[in-house]
Amino acid sequence: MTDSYTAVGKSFQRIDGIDKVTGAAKYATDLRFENMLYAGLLRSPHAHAKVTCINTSAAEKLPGVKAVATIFDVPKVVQYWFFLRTEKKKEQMFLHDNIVRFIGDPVLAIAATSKEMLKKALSLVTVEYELLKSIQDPHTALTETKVNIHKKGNIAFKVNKEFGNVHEGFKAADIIVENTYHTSKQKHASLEPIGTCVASFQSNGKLTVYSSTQLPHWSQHYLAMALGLSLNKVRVIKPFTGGAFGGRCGVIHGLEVMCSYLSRQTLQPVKMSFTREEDFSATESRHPMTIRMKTGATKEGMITANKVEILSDTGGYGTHYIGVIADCMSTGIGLYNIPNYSFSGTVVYTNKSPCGALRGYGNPQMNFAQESQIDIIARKIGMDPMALKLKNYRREGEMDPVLNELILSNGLKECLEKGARSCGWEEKRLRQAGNDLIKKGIGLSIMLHGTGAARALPDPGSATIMINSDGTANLHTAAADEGQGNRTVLAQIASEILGIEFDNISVSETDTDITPLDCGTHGSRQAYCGGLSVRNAAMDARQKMLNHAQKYLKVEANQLIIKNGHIIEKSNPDNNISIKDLMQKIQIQDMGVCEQVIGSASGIAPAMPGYYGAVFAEVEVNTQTGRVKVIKLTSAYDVGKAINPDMVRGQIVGGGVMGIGFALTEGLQLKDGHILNPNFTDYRILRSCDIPEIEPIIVESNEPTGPFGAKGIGEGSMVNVASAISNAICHATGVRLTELSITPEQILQSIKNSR
Amino acid sequence: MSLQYNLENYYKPETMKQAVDLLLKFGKTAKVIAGGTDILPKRQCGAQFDTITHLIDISNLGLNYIKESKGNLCIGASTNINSLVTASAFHSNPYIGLIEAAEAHSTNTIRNQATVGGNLCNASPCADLALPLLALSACVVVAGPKGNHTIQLDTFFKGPNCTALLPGEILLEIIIPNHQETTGASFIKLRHHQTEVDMAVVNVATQLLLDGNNCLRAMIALGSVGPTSFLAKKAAGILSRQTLNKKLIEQAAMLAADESAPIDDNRATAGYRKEMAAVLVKNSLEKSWERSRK
Ligand SMILES: Cc1cc2nc3c(=O)[nH]c(=O)nc-3n(C[C@H](O)[C@H](O)[C@H](O)COP(=O)(O)OP(=O)(O)OC[C@H]3O[C@@H](n4cnc5c(N)ncnc54)[C@H](O)[C@@H]3O)c2cc1C
Repeated sequence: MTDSYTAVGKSFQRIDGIDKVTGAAKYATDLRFENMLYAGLLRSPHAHAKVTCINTSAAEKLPGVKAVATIFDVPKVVQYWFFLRTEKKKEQMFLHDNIVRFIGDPVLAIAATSKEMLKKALSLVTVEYELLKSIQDPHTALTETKVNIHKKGNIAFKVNKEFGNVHEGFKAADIIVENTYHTSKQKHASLEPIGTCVASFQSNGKLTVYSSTQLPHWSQHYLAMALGLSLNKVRVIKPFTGGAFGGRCGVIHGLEVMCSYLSRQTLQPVKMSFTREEDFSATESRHPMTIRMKTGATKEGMITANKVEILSDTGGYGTHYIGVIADCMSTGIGLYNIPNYSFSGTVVYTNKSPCGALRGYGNPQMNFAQESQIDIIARKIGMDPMALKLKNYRREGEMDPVLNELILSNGLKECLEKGARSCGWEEKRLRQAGNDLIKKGIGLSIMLHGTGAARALPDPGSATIMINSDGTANLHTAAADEGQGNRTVLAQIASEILGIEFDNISVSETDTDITPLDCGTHGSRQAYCGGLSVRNAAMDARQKMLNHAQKYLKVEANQLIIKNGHIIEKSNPDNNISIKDLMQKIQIQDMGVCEQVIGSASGIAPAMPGYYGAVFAEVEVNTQTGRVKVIKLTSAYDVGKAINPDMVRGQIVGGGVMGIGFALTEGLQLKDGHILNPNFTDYRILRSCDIPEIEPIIVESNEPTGPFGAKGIGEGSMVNVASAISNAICHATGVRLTELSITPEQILQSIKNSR
Repeated sequence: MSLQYNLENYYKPETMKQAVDLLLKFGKTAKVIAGGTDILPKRQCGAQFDTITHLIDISNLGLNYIKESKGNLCIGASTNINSLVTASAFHSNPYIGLIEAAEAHSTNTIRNQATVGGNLCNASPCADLALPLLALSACVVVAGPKGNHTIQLDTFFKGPNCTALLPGEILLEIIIPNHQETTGASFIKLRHHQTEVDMAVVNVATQLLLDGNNCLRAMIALGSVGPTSFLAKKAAGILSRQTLNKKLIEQAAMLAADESAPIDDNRATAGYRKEMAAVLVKNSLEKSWERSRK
């Protein structure tokens, strides 16, 4: 490859930008079909109950009511695609019973000819419940033996891992810091509410589902299994999507499967759309965790041991709970080279809304605890936190002990140095808080996050590229774009390799009937895993073009290069043919050939490279009211290579905004299983006027396994924001907050307690 | 599940009598709609307003004005909140608190729609405009089946979302009596951190009229710390006829907090609110004091 790229490293506008701002882009909510029915759910008012009887006869007598599906008929999806690995595990993916496990758990769905009729029908249904004792507190779930939320009990999963010997590690430490941290039930709060789909069964037995899912192919698999269909009879189409952040990482509880059942009864398209309130109160959220951490270090700043105990609360159901707790482990252990490390994680069920994937998976929770601990140690031994991090982080060339993989690229040092210089860390961190009412502080936090899941999950990626007879190309990929712009990035990669202009490459819609198997969008994987698939498919097409060119240019393919849309003999540039002419010839004019160049690739990525980042947060704390104001984030991330720098900056800024929310304003509040803030008045995501300056800094460490050196960014940019803010608050006020989200009241109380 | 209103149930009467008749006719199933920024989102959120099936739009009743009459300032009930900010009538010392409250209310877009009457009639304990209007000793004119009458704002709020309006009654006008130019006023709103647009956690408005440092009139209005916005009369009482000093202001602030009866909710705990009520009253009184010296 040349170093002067034509498409890679350029901030092309996103290919769907114009469609989105003009309103031409169709989202799931926009879809209307002839004869379409409207479906809605009746949800449980109880946190834990057995449904003993459902009476729908009055509802079914209404003229517009066409179908009813209940908890008795329809299975729930309760695991993620990790469980597709064996036939035995597959059986555990579904749960079919008559228990409701949180307030809002679907009991039945009705499909009717109008929304008005639907509303009326739902009001006529009566359900009898046998109430069961509910468990709200995860600690109670751990000890309560008489109430079992699931058959196997209340403990969903346990994991333990130990390296070295923590006992010895603590003996070698000069100081030991021990704290318990709590993190909140954050919601995705995507612009488009979670939970809209249209399911359409045709009389030929084929099911088409339009759903703004992150995982079109796995959704296809889940639906096929739930309905007993073969994969060729299930088609999942992902329309434009207004943000996902992990909230669409599978099928939605009560949505696609329910609608498909309703459509099978009627052979009419059935549409269901959750309200924002339903999104907030009955779809997955971030796992709240209690994290107990004991960390030891020498006075010279070598971290000698870390002991971690996590209790994770997955709510009434869990899909991603294994992955999430494993992520706490791999990111926590992976970031620092701590010789003695013990990790134990327990996930419990409670009678609350279910938890799942949310940007960062388990990392933001773990990072908040671990980066707080490291900051406390730095303060105690009087060392610059940055120096302490540089002393202990796991460098390029070292082994990652959890993934069992060599670290091939790590730009953390550069992130720290560039970030520190840009925000004035040296000077600001030494500033004394003074006696002012408003105190200023600066805090630092670093992070590691994995790209993709090649070491953890079935994580296939595929792409096909068809070169048209006029020299343009069509790229087919199911790398679901939720708004982050990966279709644009993938077109850039294809353009670079094929030598075809960016504007001459079209990217297909995401449709399982057309696009080859892809794991979907999760784990910050699409620039890397999707990028590798597209790169390999493009290389395949490229080679085929060169092979064809041999005949016309009368030289061996290995003597040819592609430049500016032409295939050129390296040593004799005058001997060349344009891609367009070549395609005309081989596809149409040369009747002895008549062949289209189709490149394809499929497989798993060769690695799961870590990407790194450093966030410097500057805050002001009002010591009279406890209010915090974030003044600026300086966020430096090592993304390997920025294929599209503007898109990377967008991710860094967006992650910063979400991270500030996680730190200071967001989180579902529950009382007896009721969600108290299921709307944007009471659940505060940052408004545009609340967003401080966020300075994104891109560091490029060139990951050798990545396409053009790229790795991830999507999740990491939010992971270490909360810890940086908390560290900054401590720098300003001297008080350490251990619970997210941080409230003014907690700060005020801590300041008082410290006096 | 929520449904939009059917257009058949949306009325836009041309006269006050028609409006009152419609309200009487539909009783509990009808409500006035002014800017709609309270009633529509609430309806969208479900159950609470599901019984309201008739909306009576009052925008054709000529209630959009700010005028002077007999030395009083009168605000028509459907005057939008941004109009307060631009009206020259309020660009003097005693009304600074009102302008500050208007500017602290929601966002520019909402303020173009939301009305002063709606803010009062919604009777939210955290309504921003209620506080400077209480501190200004405003009263409201009400039209109804039995004609017009006047209610002191101080007695208008009866509970959360509950006012002294009887069935069929409509708020016409808010009347602010004349205030001496040297009156100092201020409004302070405490929001959750990192948020510039939000309902108040605590909000406070104060007024001080001084002769030298001798306090002739003190008013302290508190919001979000009780079932309604209210005047902290005991606290204001210890300032009246006294020589003002920092210590006295602090005492008044503590007393005002004592008069409050906040609850725990998803915005803050009662304890924090009470503590902040004292802080805000102190800060607001100090500001009003400073302004009264200008
Ligand atoms: C995004 C957003 C932010 C907001 N921020 C704030 C804020 O910061 N501070 C704040 O105080 N409020 C805020 N609000 C609430 C709301 O905007 C205000 O209370 C507003 O002043 C209400 O006025 P309106 O004309 O829109 O009322 P409407 O919704 O039209 O009416 C409100 C209530 O009053 C009744 N009503 C209205 N006018 C009359 C009348 N003349 N006679 C009898 N009854 C009447 C209606 O029947 C209804 O019950 C916010 C609302 C939104 C949507």
